[in-house]
Amino acid sequence: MKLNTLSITELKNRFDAGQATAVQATTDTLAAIAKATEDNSFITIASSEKLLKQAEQIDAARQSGSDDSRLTGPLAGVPIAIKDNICVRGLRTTAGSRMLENFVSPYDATVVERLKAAGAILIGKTNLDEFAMGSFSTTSFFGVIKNPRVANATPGGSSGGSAAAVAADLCAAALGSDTGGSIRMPAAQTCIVGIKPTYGRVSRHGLIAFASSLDQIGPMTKTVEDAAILLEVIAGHDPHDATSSTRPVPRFSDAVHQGIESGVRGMKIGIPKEYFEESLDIDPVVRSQIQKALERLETAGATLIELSLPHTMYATLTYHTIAAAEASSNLARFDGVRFGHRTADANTLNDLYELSRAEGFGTEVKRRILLGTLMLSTGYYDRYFRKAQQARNLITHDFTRAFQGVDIIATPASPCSKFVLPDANTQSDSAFHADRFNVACNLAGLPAISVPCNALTRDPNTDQPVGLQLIAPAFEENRLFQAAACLEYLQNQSRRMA
Amino acid sequence: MEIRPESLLHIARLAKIRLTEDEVVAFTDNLNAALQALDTLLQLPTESVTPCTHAPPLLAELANDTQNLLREDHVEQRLSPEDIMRNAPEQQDGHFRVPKVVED
Repeated sequence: MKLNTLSITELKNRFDAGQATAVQATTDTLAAIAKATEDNSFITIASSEKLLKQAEQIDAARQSGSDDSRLTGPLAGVPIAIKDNICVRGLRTTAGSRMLENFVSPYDATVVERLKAAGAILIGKTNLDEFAMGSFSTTSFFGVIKNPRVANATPGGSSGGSAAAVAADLCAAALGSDTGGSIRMPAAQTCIVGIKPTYGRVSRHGLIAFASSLDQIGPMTKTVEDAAILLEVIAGHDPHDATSSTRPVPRFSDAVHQGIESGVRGMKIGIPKEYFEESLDIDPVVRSQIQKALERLETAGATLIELSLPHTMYATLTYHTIAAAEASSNLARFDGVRFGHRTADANTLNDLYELSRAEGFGTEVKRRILLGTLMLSTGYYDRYFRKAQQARNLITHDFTRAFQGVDIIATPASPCSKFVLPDANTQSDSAFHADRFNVACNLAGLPAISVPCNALTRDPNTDQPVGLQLIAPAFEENRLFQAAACLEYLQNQSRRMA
Repeated sequence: MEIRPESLLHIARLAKIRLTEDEVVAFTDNLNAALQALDTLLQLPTESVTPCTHAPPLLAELANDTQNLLREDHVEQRLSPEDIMRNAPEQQDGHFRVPKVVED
């Protein structure tokens, strides 16, 4: 048994029972990474010498009964991968861009500080679409990422490296970031669990900003329980992010146990008709597996209620307008002066800015900066940007109204069961549709989870991953964990019986 | 609304990105396609709808409390000047170096 194949919970159980050590877990994980370079999941691997030294200290502390949380905390000895738009002190943080090819972060993101304080072994930084802008893991300066679960397909994006690393057992779990589906969509494509927490649940300090009113960091894991454990560690108020909520963090793992032990009795699950329409071009396997998952939840005591979110059709356009506008502002900081790429050819300050940015940014990033700049310029601001802000309110109100009658809402996490490595010319267009089921949650700031809902045979030539997306009201992640854990449990049971 | 290559160049100057001639053509087309797609959004009736200016959960939190999040203003040093300068592409005597900005 290689320890890299285990979930956080399984690994911790073995540590506690004295059947495994942090050194073994780290060694197995590093060996698996060294063998699996073809998927291109990682941009940077941490120094194996340092990781093994940390693991040795953790093992020694377990023997001696130390009370240092860095050595005995809830993630002590657990190998975790970090999306490369999240800062880890002393490691390169590139955001998948030539602009930051040589940027070594001088500080830890708050989520990273918390992982370190919980004893996690930060194994490396995962590949992503450049500045998290993309849906197929094809825009990274460091190359395309492959889906370990499906032959000749991408893992989706933008947290494609984190998704692929979890799916291929190159870590126990990973962190991703989600601006318009970038955790949930790749989670669905690789058959893992991914949750975008409520806006404000997790600090964004140290996350390289893409669209600040939409970005959230979240767990990408092998099981629902792991997602709950990881979120408990990273969530909570942070004085360095004024948008992080001061609400107490519930014990999400209690909700997981509730879902396993007592199912979803009495839970009302809304089925928004706009996410299932015939005209949407949803993969038939996605439709049938989602249907099956919903039936399972029904047998576990839930009531399915059809409802309408009438402004759904405007979500993607609204999202792209707002995200591009915020990106154009956020990415103004990359000027070739203080950090990042600097052109060799500048004679004037203006040349320095324009050429450094021309050389440092890839095509998709330039496109979004230009679109955002246009949206915020005179004449366009009132016509388009303001309109998008108004539409955002209408989309949010759709959810507020819907949650008066239901506890959670269920939709597909992605319209496709696989993304064949796409033709570069059609990328922007298909990206527009790939995230269509995800972006509304970011606009409304709501928490949403993607749970795998079909059994894989682990044959990349025939497997067709499908994810169910569950959405809850703000700060009600517990409902997601309960329902997702229930579904996962029922699926595992039926697999065992088959 | 359609933009012409001259306006695209103006936008690129505002965004401080130098574009090649090919990029100007490609991005003009691409942004025009985006604007065309946005026609659907323009048809949405939004009279008397307030624009949403922050992430909605944040607005709800603020509405329950005060309208601003305030904290004590105290000095702390999170990073040393050496840490900050370590990523500077060009520096001199602890300062970021840029091309000459004042004419002789």
